[in-house]
Amino acid sequence: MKCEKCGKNEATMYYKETINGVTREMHLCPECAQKENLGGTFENAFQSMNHFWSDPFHSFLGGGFGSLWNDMLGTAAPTSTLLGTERKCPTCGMTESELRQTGRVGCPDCYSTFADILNPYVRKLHGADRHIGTAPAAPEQPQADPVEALRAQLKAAVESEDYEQAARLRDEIRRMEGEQK
Amino acid sequence: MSLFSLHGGFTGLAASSRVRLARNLKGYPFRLTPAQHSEIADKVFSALRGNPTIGPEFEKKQIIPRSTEASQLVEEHLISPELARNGGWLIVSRDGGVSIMVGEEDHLRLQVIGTGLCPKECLETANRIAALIEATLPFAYDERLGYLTACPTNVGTGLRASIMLHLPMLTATGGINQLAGYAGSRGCAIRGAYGEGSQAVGGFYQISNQITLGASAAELTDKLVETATAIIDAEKKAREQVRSQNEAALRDRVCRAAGTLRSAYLIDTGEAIQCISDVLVGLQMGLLSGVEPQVLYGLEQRIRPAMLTGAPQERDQKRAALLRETAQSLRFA
Repeated sequence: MKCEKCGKNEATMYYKETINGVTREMHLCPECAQKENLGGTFENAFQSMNHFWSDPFHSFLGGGFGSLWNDMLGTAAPTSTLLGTERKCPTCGMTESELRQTGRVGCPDCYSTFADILNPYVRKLHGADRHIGTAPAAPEQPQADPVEALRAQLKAAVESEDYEQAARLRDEIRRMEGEQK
Repeated sequence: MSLFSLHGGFTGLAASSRVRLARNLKGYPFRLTPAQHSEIADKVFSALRGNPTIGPEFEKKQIIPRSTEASQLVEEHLISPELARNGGWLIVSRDGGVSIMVGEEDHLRLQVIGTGLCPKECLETANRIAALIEATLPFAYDERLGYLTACPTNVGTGLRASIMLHLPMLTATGGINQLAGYAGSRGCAIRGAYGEGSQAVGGFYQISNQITLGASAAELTDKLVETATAIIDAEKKAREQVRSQNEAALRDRVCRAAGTLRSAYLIDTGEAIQCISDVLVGLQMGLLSGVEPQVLYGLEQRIRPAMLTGAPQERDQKRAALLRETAQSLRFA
């Protein structure tokens, strides 16, 4: 069903209101719903629920990202920010001040980039700093190098003068080597 | 017959159990683009579909931001309000017992739900599904910190095990404040399931593990079950105490609630939850019969505002109709 307002986008919201006995019904797309200022209806819908999904730490330790985070990390603006020489995660580019502001890390490598900030926080939060229990099933099986196998096939193809197959294998090898880099 | 339906005991006091595991795929940043969400959803879906036994049970849905369907999935506890707001993907078993959100704060939020007290069983299923995904899609894992998550509060096991408890008498007798302290001392957090802040409408509470690192998921779950069991015992004692003090008043309250559910023509969410709460007490204490507690817990979900469309008064009318239908089979003991 198309949006009744713009007639272009798919309608995903059903809206109905009755004011002084006059009922208004609309099927709207998210954009028009926002323009109609119906977004509030959506936000309000869950306000009465202390939801399973909300993090108990965040909700228990007060506003924002929890007072523990604020106490330990959130307040201080690192000098490096002011000097423009701020530390950045080389993998995802998250800066130290972004981390302090949001309380969220940008990628798995941030845990080592910002270990000096995160480790004491994690220890305080969990009362522990070492994981126990489920780990990835088995260390990855040392597999025979797939590129090496393709090279052998390529050699055989060249020897048997199957150049079409050889070209395909060559491209495949290039693609895999590119991925590995 | 559904493959993942898990049922536990104490159904009169423990409404439901759920376990969530937060996982991220290796080689991606935590914050993804919509295209990457879609790519990951595809990969996870095909990893599950590759399994001949459970694969056919799953379906994949795109979550359109702020859509009516998204709101309903929130009320069904299948997705978080954040996912409903921002959009993403949901991979869900046909019975809703297992669901995987793609596009939340972490790449994957795997959830298993059961009725009654069964977090251990939920964890076993969650571990099985996670292992199945991990066999083809390695997760971000660190030898020291365990499974890595976007928020340090979830790092390690990525576990959030939770039980919905019905504790109206402890609420009435004020014992709940001590329980919060008790739960805290056992590494668990307890809070009202509905209502603003610490106020719990109808005496419904959610108890969950607070830490995720330094103990195995199984140990954390065991501790949660022990803590919940102790709280359930306390609620049972409180109920018997109320009965011994003034059985007539208790019976009056329970039967009035049953009467309201059987005959109300307009009822708002707050009153409905309160009446369901009182009727549940009556059923558990043998003052009422004829309806299974699970039916009422299910009903309690279906009468929430987002599940009923229309203007407020229209919703009150639909809600009352649903409740009347179920309450007709209530019998007074």
